[in-house]
Amino acid sequence: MTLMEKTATIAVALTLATAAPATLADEHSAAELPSIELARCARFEQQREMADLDVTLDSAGYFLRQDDALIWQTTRPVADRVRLSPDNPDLPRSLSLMLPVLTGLLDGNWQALRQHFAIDPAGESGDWQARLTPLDAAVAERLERIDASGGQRVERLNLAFANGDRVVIRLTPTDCDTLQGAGHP
Amino acid sequence: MRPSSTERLAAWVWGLALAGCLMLLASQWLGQAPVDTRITTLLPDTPETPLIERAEKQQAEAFESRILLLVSGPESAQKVPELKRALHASGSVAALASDDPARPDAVLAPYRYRLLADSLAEKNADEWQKRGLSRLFTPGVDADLKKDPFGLLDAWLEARLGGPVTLEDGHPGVTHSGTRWQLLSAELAGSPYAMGLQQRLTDALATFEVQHPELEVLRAGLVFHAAAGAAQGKREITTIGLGSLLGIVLLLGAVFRRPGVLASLLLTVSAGIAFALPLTWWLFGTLNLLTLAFGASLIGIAVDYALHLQCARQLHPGRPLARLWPGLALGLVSSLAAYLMQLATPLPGLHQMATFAALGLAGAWLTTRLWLPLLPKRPHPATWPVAERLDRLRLPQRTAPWWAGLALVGVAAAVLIATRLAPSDDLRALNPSPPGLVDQQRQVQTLLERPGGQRYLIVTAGGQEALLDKLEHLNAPLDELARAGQLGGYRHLAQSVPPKAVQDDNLARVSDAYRQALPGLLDDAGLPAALLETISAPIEGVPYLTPERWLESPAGAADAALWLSDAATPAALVLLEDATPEATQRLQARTAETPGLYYHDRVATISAQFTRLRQHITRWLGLALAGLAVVFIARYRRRAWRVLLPPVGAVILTLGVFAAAGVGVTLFHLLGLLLVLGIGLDAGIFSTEHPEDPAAWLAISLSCASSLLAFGLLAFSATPALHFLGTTCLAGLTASWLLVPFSRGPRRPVSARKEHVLHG
Repeated sequence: MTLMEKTATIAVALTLATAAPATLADEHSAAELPSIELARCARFEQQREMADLDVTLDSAGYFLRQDDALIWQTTRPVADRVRLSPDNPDLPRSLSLMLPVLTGLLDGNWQALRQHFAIDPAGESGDWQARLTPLDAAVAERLERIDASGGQRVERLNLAFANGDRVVIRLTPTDCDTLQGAGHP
Repeated sequence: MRPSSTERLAAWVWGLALAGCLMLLASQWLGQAPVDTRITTLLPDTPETPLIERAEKQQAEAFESRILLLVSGPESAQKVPELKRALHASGSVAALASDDPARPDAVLAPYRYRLLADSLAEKNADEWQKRGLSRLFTPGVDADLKKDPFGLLDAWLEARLGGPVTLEDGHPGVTHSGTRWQLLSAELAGSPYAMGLQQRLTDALATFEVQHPELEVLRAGLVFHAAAGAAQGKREITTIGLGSLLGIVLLLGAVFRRPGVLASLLLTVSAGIAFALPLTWWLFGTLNLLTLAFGASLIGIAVDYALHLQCARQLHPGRPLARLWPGLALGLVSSLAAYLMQLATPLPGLHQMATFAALGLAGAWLTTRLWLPLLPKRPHPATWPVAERLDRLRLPQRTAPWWAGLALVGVAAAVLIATRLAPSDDLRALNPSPPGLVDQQRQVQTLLERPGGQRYLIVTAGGQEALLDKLEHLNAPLDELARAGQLGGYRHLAQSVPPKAVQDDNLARVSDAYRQALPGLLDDAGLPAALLETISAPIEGVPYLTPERWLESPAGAADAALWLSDAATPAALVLLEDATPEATQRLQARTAETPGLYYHDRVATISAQFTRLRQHITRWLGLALAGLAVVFIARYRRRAWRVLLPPVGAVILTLGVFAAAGVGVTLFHLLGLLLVLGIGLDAGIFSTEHPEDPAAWLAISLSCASSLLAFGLLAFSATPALHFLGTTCLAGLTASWLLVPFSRGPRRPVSARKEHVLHG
């Protein structure tokens, strides 16, 4: 565990110690959450299944960090670049709800995620899975759950939306400097 | 001396009249005759008056039971839940609106094709296509390709509900200059005026603040102002109120030593109010509480009549009372003249106040004249020594130095008044809320970018659709003012519910965009072209969004105050944020040339009203004084100045004190001056009628002292209006009393005195 993770775990444990006994299960799982390295960049492959149209849309590209923002660059089938940051006014409102979730997942910041999800982890440090169920009614109205898995880093995310749509993202670590359109630190 | 049969009959008639008044009052009370606290009812009626009243009522209903709290400081997000729990536990709060923000998307989804945000309307086909693609590829967006491939609803919500409130880690709040403020909005569990609720709410907040000194909490909401006002009122009633009551009872008790005399003084004032209240209520159909408050203080002058009568009866039990009647009658006439002159003004508020005060004085006078002489005389031996000792306070035989001193003070006051005295109609100076609280409210409004509801346009039209059209047409001129930086912003219902014509236009543009951008979108995304038909299907047969549909939804409820559809004439409000004087002028010019469009600025209206009241009172008071001077000259000839010196001199000295202290003269200072003038006139009349009589001087001194205790102590009130009234009375009544010895002049030789007493 990194120092930060330890501190977070202690903080969570302290909070829970004063809470009702029913939440003790969470205390155990909090201790078992895998530590994940923060990825500065990665290549992704994304599959979006749209239930009501019965079609699947494939795309690929990479993401990288730039200051506080996450640049989500799609390269296939067409080029599209989105700056994911709370101060980007062009982002849809629904995404501003999802943004902390997304960055929390990519960072492996369990502490941040705990504010929004009940987290049910399984497996061990090098090969783990976790199911995240939203706590906020506002998020739950759109997102049913997220299944995440990986080893040192998050490798696979499966987002199940309330309307039956699904987004599966596979992440592969890459050398950040080789990515085009750099501009990253 | 036994009262004559005519006097007895008159006393009976007066008793019957008062009994009738009391019965009328009881029927008004039981029949719940209207009582008013609205300042607008004091204004002259204009065509828009009923509209303004409706608007004010609706605004009050929408806002009065809501509170907004902003919390900042280290780890504020983690500590806010504790505050929420405390508020819930206190029972003062019914629901925390910020916990369950109304979601307009579900309500608006069926209408989205008729609601086009400006940001999308400006885009060309390529940009629509790019937007659609971006939504498909961005993770986390639940891109609804079938129903809304271009995110029409997102764009609309973004434009309409943008505002400064954002979610950070799921917590609503605003970020300003790098500081994050957590937002907590709540609906009160009861009336904001309920003292119990105020107490529980303020206690819960205070406890939280004590436990977390590192956090800053900003409050906004009527309840906090009401609570501060109630707490202040309670404090002042127990200190100032009790203090002045105790002072008056001790003073009069020490002089008269007879509870009966005290009771007779109280009877006079009570009879005055019992006479004036039902009659004013009946004459005007409604009773304004502001009128009542100030009218009642003016009736305070009525105690003068009883004081003069009682002092004369206690000190000279053997002398006939008839020698008092001319002075008493002149006292009544002069006060009535000063007040009834106000009926000549065009202001209903002033009419009611003047009527109330005049009737009250008349009632008290009749009680003094008809009833008090019938009460048994039981002078106490302690009264005479008090009067005798007081009578030593006279000008010495060599009066020149005293007059020179007074002239110097008078000239200084006149110079100060001419050079430095300024009126003040700034309503903010009259705000009874503590400045800290007013400041917090303003900060919250600024941070949340919410107009305070102080300034708005009222729009009327023949029907609902025409009204929406009219609102829509205001956008262009208002946007122009906003772009020029002259108007902070505006809000009206047509922004949320566009008129049908605009909804039709929007739908046509959306259809165009679908036709032009959708094939390219599907092609670029690698999706089958066969989807085109399915995705385009929803834009057929789209229903219209109506004001009713929007306002009945939880998200639209916040706009309820903008729509006054309940009455015969549909009307709507355009709430305006801060506007420059130039913008205000342009808006007023527009309303002047547009039928069915009115501009209302609550603060400016009340300020202007105060200015008019102040000017009218001053002008008519001046006229009344001039008229009275003629009457006094007719009766007293060369001694008329003796009558005028205490009242007029006191007014000049008081205004001089204000000028020296740099105090702006408000309406409430002026009302205080009315009181000073009334008491000063009585003092002047009696010191001229009976210059050598210690009883008159005792009555004048008791009148000044008791009024000082009743009203002068209000100078210590923290409520600005009362404080102004109090300081005026404090300075004015003191000056008036000090001027009476000048009116009386030095003691006359004994022979002259005897002669005067004989003829007096």
